[in-house]
Amino acid sequence: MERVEVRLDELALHQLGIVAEIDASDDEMARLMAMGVCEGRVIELVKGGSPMILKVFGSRIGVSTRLARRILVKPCDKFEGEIPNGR
Amino acid sequence: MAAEIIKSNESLADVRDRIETHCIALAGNPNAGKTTLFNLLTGLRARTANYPGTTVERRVARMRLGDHAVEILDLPGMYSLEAATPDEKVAGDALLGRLPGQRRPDAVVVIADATNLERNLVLVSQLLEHDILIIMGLNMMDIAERRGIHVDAEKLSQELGIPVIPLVATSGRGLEDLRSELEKIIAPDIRKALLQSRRTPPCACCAGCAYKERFAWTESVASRVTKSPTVAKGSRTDAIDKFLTHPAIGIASFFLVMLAVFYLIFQVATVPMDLIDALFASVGSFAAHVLPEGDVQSLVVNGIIGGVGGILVFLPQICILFFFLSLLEDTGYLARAAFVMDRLMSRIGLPGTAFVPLVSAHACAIPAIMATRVIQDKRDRLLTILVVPLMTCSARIPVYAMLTALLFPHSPLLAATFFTGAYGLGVVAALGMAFVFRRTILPGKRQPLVLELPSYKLPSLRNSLLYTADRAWVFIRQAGTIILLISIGLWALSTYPKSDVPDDVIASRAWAQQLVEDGDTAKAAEIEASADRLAAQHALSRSFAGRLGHLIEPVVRPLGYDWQIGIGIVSSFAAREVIVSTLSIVYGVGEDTADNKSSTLYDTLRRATRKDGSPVFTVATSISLLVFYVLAMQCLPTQAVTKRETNSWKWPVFQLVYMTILAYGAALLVYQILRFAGVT
Repeated sequence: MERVEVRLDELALHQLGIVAEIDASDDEMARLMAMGVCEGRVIELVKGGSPMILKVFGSRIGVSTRLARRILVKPCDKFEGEIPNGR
Repeated sequence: MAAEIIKSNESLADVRDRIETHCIALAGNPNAGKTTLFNLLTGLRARTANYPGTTVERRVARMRLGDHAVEILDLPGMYSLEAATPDEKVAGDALLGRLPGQRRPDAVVVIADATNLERNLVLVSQLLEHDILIIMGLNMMDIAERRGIHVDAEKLSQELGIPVIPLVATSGRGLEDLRSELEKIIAPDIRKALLQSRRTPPCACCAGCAYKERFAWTESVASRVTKSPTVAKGSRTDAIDKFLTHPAIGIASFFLVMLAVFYLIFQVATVPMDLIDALFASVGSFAAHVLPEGDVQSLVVNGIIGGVGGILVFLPQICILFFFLSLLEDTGYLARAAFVMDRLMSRIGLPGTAFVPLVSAHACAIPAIMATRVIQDKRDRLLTILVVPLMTCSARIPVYAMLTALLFPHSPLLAATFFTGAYGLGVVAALGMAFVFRRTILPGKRQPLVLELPSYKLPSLRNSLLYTADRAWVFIRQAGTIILLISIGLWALSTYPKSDVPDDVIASRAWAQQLVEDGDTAKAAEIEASADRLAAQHALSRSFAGRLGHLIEPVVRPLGYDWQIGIGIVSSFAAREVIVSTLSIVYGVGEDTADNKSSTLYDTLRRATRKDGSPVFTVATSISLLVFYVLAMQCLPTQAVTKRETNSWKWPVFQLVYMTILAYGAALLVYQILRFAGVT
């Protein structure tokens, strides 16, 4: 039985996920959060590795793995939820 | 009351201007098209300076909107009023009137990207909570339409309670509507009505994830006003990114791109650089003709004209570098390059964005240091600025050429090897010092990479040209004044104190005069030239610069140098390539020979001997001198630019000190080891 929530860097390629929890204990997260990576938002892993590329709100963000490790997401299926396409 | 309004040093006209001028700020996410709009509104009227007390740039332009004088302020891009970077902090403070020296804007135009409304609305939602007039410019409508995304601006305006104007900044669509809206809000009675009609988003402060509620709100607003297609369209950007963000292909393509730009800087810049050189040479000789002989003439020709020419000669390289960097950034490519280089660079402790300045330093460190603006973290930026001058710049090339020719006159292969080795030494030194500094004087956690990769788009030539002109003007105005002062100072050092003309020179001149009277003008010219060379040699040796050379001789002796090379090194601290002409004077070769027939110069230098008869330019000495020139900080213009970009004299001084120590130590080591190994 797989875990419900995974770390962001463990997400499969092109897998969508809803952000569940963020370890925002210091400033490093602030910029990423302001760009859209925060609780309840849908993100997609576009390129894995280090650093990785995410898609959130239709924009692409390069993120270092160090930060990605502190974000927990709940994987979801492509057509679930209100995910606006065409971006 | 009047006394409070009028500041002590303002004239009445200034007061009226200040009271009547309205300040309008342009804010928005990075990559939302803010700067394009700013350029569209203001064109060449913009001036760039720094926010007082910071290294953050401030672009302002004055223009007329209807009857009113307006000042438009282009703020740095921000994702949120809660700052995550120093630039964002200054932008936020300026917007809310918290920045000393910056007047609070009367209104703000928030430029939002229509294809990414949810994120762009965050800033709007934050601003709605403050007492400031807002207009929203909904930009990139063309891109949205192309992707099938329809945003209802009217509906959005009703949801937010502020004017929303659809725009396409790249083509100018919507500009007139924006202008008329701006004219309207300047009127005071409208202001009150507008402030009352706006809708503040619910929940201003939240526990836990600070943005959770805000994004929930922006998402709901966006969903109500946007209609998107349900089937995703293929994305060009994603396709290109498959290659450009691939670790191996990405790095390789980046190297190719940099090679191309670098090649362009080298090749294309030489044409205008030669033109500028020629122009100033002719201005110089004109001045020499017009002014009477003497100190004033020398000051004007060598100090001032030479100094100004020495500044302007950098412009072609600066302009080409910034033009192409601006184009590359506009396309969105530069973000990919930083992304791909980040992994390699972080091993040393530098960010991926430092790669462009480090590579462009191979043309010239001055534009490279100016280009470090792209590095967001202050410490990373400073670190890069400190090590950039270690990269071999084009000014070192004449010196390398001279020394490797002296070393290996009959073996071009060995000469080329040492030449390349010198370049390599520079790179290794720069990366090594970055590594060291990271762990000693500039410690701190490496900022993790968070970098937006905007969609690829065609660049705007207009934007890039305006940007280049802006950079060039900033350089001339700020670095230029310091360089000019230094040129004059150096001129003084090599001219004063005056010394008497030595007897043999007087005798030679008399003989030449005699020859002219006898009709042998060719020989007379030869004797005259030789006498001039002797006089120059003598004068230089007794000037302050010469005395410095003598003074430092005991210090440089362990490196294998004598006082004449000492003068060369001292004069090189203004500009490296000066050593070639200085050595030609010091060893009595003559300037014309140095320019046209460098082989004669090299032959003469090779034959130069010390008082005891031993040659000056031995293998050991030459290699030691080469190492010294690779590592030494000998470029006052670079220091001037460092001062400007770091807002302090501490760092240029530090650069000078550490690089001098590094150069001295390395040259000493090399010379002593070579001597020990029996190499003469």
